[in-house]
Amino acid sequence: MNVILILILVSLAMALLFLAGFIWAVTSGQFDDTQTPGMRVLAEESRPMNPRSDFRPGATMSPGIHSDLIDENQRSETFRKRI
Amino acid sequence: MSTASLPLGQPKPTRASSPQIETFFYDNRIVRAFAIVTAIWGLVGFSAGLIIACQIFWPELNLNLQFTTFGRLRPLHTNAVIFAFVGNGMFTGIYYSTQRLCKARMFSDFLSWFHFWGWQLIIVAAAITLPLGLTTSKEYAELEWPIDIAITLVWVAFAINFFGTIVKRREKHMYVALWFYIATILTVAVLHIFNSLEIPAGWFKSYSVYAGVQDALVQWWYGHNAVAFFLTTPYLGLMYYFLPKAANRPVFSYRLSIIHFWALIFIYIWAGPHHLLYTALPDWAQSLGMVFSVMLIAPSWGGMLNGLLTLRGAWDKVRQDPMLKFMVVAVTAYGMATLEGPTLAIKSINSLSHYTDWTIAHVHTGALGWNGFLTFSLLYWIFPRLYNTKLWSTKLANYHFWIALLGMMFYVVPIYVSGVTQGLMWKQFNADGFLQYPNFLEIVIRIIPMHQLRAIGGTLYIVGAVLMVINLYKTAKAGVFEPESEAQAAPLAKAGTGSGHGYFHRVLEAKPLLFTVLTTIAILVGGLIEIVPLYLIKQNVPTISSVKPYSPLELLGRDIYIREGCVGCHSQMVRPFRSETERYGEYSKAGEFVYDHPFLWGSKRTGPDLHRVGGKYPDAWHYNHMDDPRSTSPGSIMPRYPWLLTQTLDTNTLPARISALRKVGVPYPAGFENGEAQKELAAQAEKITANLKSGMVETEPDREIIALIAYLQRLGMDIKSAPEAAASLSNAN
Amino acid sequence: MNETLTTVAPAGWASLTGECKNSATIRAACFHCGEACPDHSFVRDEKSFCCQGCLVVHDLLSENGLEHFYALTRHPGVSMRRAASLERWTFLDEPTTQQRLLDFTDGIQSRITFHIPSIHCVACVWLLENLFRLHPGIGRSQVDFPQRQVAISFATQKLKLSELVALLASIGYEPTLTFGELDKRSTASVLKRRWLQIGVAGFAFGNIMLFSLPQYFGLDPFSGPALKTLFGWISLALALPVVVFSAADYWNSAWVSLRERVATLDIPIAIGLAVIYGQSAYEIISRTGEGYFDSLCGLIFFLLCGRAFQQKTQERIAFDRDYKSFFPLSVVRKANAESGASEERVALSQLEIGDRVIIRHGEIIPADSRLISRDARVDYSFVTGESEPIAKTAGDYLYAGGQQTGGAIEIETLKAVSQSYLASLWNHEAFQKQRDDSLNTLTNRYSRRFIWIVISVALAALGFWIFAGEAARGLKAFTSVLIVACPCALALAAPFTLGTAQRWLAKANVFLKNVFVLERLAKVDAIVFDKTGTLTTAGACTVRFEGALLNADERIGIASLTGQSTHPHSARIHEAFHSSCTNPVRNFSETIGRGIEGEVNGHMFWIGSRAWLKSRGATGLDSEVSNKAFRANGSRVELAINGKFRGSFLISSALRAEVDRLIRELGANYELALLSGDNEREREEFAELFGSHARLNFNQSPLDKLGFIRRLQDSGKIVMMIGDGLNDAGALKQSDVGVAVVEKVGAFSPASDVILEADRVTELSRLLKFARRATRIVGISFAISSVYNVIGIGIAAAGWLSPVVCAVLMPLSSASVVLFACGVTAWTARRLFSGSEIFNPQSSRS
Repeated sequence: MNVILILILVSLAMALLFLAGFIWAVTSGQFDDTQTPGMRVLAEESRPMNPRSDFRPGATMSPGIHSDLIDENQRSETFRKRI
Repeated sequence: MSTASLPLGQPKPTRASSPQIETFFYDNRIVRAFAIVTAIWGLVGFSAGLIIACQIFWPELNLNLQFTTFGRLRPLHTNAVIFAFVGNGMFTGIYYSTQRLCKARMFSDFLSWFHFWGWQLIIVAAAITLPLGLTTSKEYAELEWPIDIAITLVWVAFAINFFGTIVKRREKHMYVALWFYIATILTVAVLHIFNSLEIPAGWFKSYSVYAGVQDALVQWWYGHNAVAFFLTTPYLGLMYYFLPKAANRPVFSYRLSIIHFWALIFIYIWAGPHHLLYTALPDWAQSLGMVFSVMLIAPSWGGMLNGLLTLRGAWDKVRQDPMLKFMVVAVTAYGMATLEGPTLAIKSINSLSHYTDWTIAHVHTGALGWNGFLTFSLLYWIFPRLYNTKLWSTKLANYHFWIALLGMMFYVVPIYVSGVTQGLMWKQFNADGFLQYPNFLEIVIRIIPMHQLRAIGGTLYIVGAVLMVINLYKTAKAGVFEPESEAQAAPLAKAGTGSGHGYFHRVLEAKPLLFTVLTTIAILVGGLIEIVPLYLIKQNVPTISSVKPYSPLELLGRDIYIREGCVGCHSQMVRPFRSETERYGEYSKAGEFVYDHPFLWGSKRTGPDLHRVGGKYPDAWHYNHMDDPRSTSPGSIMPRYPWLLTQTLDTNTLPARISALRKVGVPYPAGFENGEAQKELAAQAEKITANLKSGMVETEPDREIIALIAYLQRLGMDIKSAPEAAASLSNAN
Repeated sequence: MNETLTTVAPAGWASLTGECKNSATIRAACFHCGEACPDHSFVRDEKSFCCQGCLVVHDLLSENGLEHFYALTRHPGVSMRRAASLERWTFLDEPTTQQRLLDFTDGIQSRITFHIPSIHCVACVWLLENLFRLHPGIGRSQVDFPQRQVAISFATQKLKLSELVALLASIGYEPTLTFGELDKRSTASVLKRRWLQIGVAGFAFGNIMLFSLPQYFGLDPFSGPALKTLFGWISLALALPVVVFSAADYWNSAWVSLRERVATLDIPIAIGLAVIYGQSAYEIISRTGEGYFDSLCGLIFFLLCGRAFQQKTQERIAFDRDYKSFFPLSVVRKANAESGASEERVALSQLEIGDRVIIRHGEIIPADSRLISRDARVDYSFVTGESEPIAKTAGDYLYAGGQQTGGAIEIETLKAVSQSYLASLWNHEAFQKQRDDSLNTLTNRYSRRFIWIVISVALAALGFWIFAGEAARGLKAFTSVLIVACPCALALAAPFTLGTAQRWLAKANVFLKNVFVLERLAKVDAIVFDKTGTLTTAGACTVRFEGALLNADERIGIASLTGQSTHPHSARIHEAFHSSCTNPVRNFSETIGRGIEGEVNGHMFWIGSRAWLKSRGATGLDSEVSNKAFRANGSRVELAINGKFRGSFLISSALRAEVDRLIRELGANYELALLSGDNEREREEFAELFGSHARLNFNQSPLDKLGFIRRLQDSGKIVMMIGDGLNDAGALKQSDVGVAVVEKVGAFSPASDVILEADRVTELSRLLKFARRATRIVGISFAISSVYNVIGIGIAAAGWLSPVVCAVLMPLSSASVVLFACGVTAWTARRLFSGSEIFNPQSSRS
């Protein structure tokens, strides 16, 4: 029944991997606030993007890692002081 | 600030720490692709299921063709539904929710599409090889070794893509759904690698490195955890993302979701033995499996309660929104299945339910209810959003819901009845101590009406699915596909804004997450490749002196047994119950299976157990039975195998197979395969042909049926021929 | 926008994302905040708004692409009807205040955490996390819903802090700026450590159980001995981090208490853990057994969970106390222009930054503020301890806690009032009463002996079983005795009961200095009353002037002079003149219990008792007018202007309602006495009230009162003194329990242990009964805990209890005792005080 040794070692290795994940999660503050994430999920909103001529979305199977960041100043100056 | 191609494991250079807002785009194209194939493969998988459901009470539907018999279509159905329908459904949900939870586009579009096309290729390869009979016969892992390697590659690509997205996320907190996806990816990778350790003996033939009892344990360690980590944890992740979104309610208790996730993960990987209760597995392992399964109720029901209670105050929404109706039934079915599972894992109940249809009912409560309904609700939710429009017809979706629910009821209830009927009739003794129903066929015929009802259920389920596809197609037509949806977020400030440095913080944060994950997998795979052969050579399963490796002819006969998928209906494990020893003979000992690569214990007895069939019927009976089962046993539902009588046995694959088996530890003498084996094969074939001639059957010695008869007559003979050896062993056990 | 929303308890999620406000009003509900719209409501593309403010916010959001805010929940916004004046945040830009407020800044980018009570739903979370769309200077913002906090990082050049706060206020989310309050972040790392410890212990406990089960199911030889040792070693390895890391707190506190030779509960637990681990490790290494690692890790896991549960309940109760820190002071605020009334008395909690407050002689400065009126002499004896008053001129910065001596001054508050700081002043150790027989020291002494009893019982059990030949059972008994014993119920019973009692009394506007006052209250057997202000009510009395008619500037002089002092008599006289105009008073001074003097536009005024005026050399005191007035009843105050006797005020004081019932009730089981500074005239009235055996002494100077109480105490009595806390501060301090009766006056007498609002005096008997009940409850919880311990240790010593079961019983017992104590105390308080109108629902505390 030696295969049980292998199964145990593998299971234990997996469990320890997840324990390491748990430790990383706790130390990096994933559980500081255990209520707001539940609400933040609801608040997502992605506006329908109006097709932009200048921007060619990644074609299927396009080689190379497509850059997803648009330079910040392209964003229109939005805030007009109203107060 | 364009990201040049990102070397693996290198953290992205962040800009000056001024509060910069980035605009980026979610990739909806990959989500649409997966969503479409999910619907298509769903139909394919369901129809395969319907065909084999009808074949089970209407043998003629096997069309007497080699490629359409029940034995070969059953793995096609299981693989299609699990890996194609549920797999693609899971990937749809993961690709949609991960990007929005991480507020980042997928790590690399190339890897996304590599994953998509790779996965569809694997499914097509399976759809080709399984009907051809190229199978390893290990349940839910039937695909041969080239496809296994392909699966590993595609899965690693998916892992890199997923973890890359997490590393470059713009939302500090990782929502619980992401943790479920992480658990799925890591664990399925390890499970697949371990259960697919096989030595190839040809392009589409391989022998599992484990044998007999060990192979059984590894298989069902994989089998149970494939159900757990491929059908449950990712779907819990989808539930935690899509249920709150649909009900517009935050999850009932986020803290409960964290607790039940980690409770599930810390001790989960150790399940498996509860598929082998009362088999030749050591007793303590069986009890451990039982205890562990009962422990699993708590985390599973934690998930269900969290899901259902999220709907507090939103039940009126469930009335109008079909998507929520599907989700609610899905979560309820999950609760039922995860309570029924541990109950079935209790030894006394398992003694009744094992090998019967009850297991099938349990599987389909989970599959049709939990996975099916949740995938339907996922598709109904995602299509309108991808196409920026409303669902084409909510009324049609409601029809689908009620039809599918009826379908599920018509499937599951009759099968519960047939399962219990089988279990009780197998065990029934009459007043003077003999089996009430000695003839197995009588029981098979008794449950045919239930299988017919099940077929109706299956039809209804498919009709519902067809309505869904129409609905989704019309929705797509009505809307305008939105390839990219824009979003904005501030990057996770890498500069130390002093957000608290915890206990191991300095040690772990230095190494990026991706790097640790990759190295761990590398260590796991590399290290254990050396350990596994080392352990397996040194067998310490108590060998029974009389058990010898299969003769070449019997070996080829066994491979035909595997090819035709006989393991789908016949088990080879007589359990230590009086009802089974009365019906079949001496119960199976662990030692008898030491040379079985892969093990063929089976998990379902549509037909009788075959482990003691050796010598029970004359060769001629087998010959005629294989040609037309109804000629020798009227009323039998077994398909006909006429091609076995005509096709010639391909003996030139013998040397490769014998050397492969010798590699995995079967003690064939050195050089046995260069001529010695062929001579022995020819001799045995001549003997069997002579036997058949005396039984008025004229045939050639090179036919496949001869090899099959050789294997069937050998089954269980090692113990029978040496009763005293068996007796000595049984008390030791 | 000072409309303070009651924070929504997160219990009802339905209210969060569903209907924020029920808009079932007949008129259309405001699209932004859901309130009813007046008919001439503001309309923007067929959406109606209740006020201009809501409309402005709606436009602001929709312009910046934030319309999704309204899609998330119906009427998510906060009503802007009472828009706040925005320019008052300019003071936030000074570097000093910024330095105290900001979490982090490196000149370019800075991060600040605001507490915003008006966060109440998903839409608020979404809006506050998309602030960057409102202003390019804002970067990442993260909301913490349960704490109602949002952490915002912003570029300091592009956006000033005051602008950021103004922006937040403009969309209805005005942050409450708290200075110097200890924030909860420091406990985050402790919380993380606790999560880790429980996580590791749970992980090891689950897995070790799976590795030790095979032993229970009989690991058959078929699987080979290799597995047995493998499982053993894996359990040993997994148990190591649990014992070292998860149980670290137990080792530390055991070591600390050993070093300081103070016995705490952690010593027996530490010993128990060490023994189990040592024995199990020995068994595994020597292959003579499979050890008890599963019960060891289970034990630690349940101990940690029990401790976490306890800390959470204590935090919840403590949170309750900080939130409503009780300080009875109320302040006279110079009302802002449009509300017309010149002065209004307002509770401390309603005080706003920038309000103008009048502080009279003897009152304390409630918050850091700026002096507006001319000079002031502030006595900081409570804060710094040195009693010499410091002179301050207009515009100086005054620290909270100082006591104004001399005339009334006007100040403008610069910071929010921090009630907990003032409450801490009251517990200043200068006024601590050194009593060592208090319940607290009692529990410490008892628990120390308890620990040694437990250890000796454990050793005895071990010895007994070894002697009886069952060493294994002995060991089990030894460890389970150590684990099951739980004195923490004793340590917790007293503080929890008295704490709950204190909280309920505060609800009834009876404020205790600290928890142990209640103990002494229960032991009181003699009560000494002060007459003026306590038994007599100031409200219903009439003031008559005997003497020649006063001309106009004499009346103004008297009114302004008496306005400076908080003594009941001068307050009555000041009210009698009810003239709103008062002139500034120069070199005002008040001699406690005698009289007040001061100079108003040139004339010198002396008001006080006859003896005091005589001692100041006033002439004409023995004239016929003065002794005719002498015979009328009620207390008399003489008036002399520029050294010449002018006339006297007769203040007839009526007895408080129901005082007779109170005296009769108390007379039954307490020895009563009356001390009064006034003259004899009301002796017979009080004699018939108090009954024969009560001692009544009049014309008591503060020193005589002090002497009287000391004599009572020497005769072995526990004395409770009830007075108005001003002229008998010394007596209050000397008495075992000093009760100060406060007539909604700003005076603050640290010497008192209890502060009672004037109209609550008649509830005194109920208060004493409640105090006795509370101490009896503590006694009962002691009894329960000792019964538990006796039974628990007994069974454990007999070896029937396994350590894991003990680990579950122990936290259970302490939790049950705590819940019993708090529950019964609250129940008695409600029953005792339910009848009286004390629990008026609209108690001033918001």
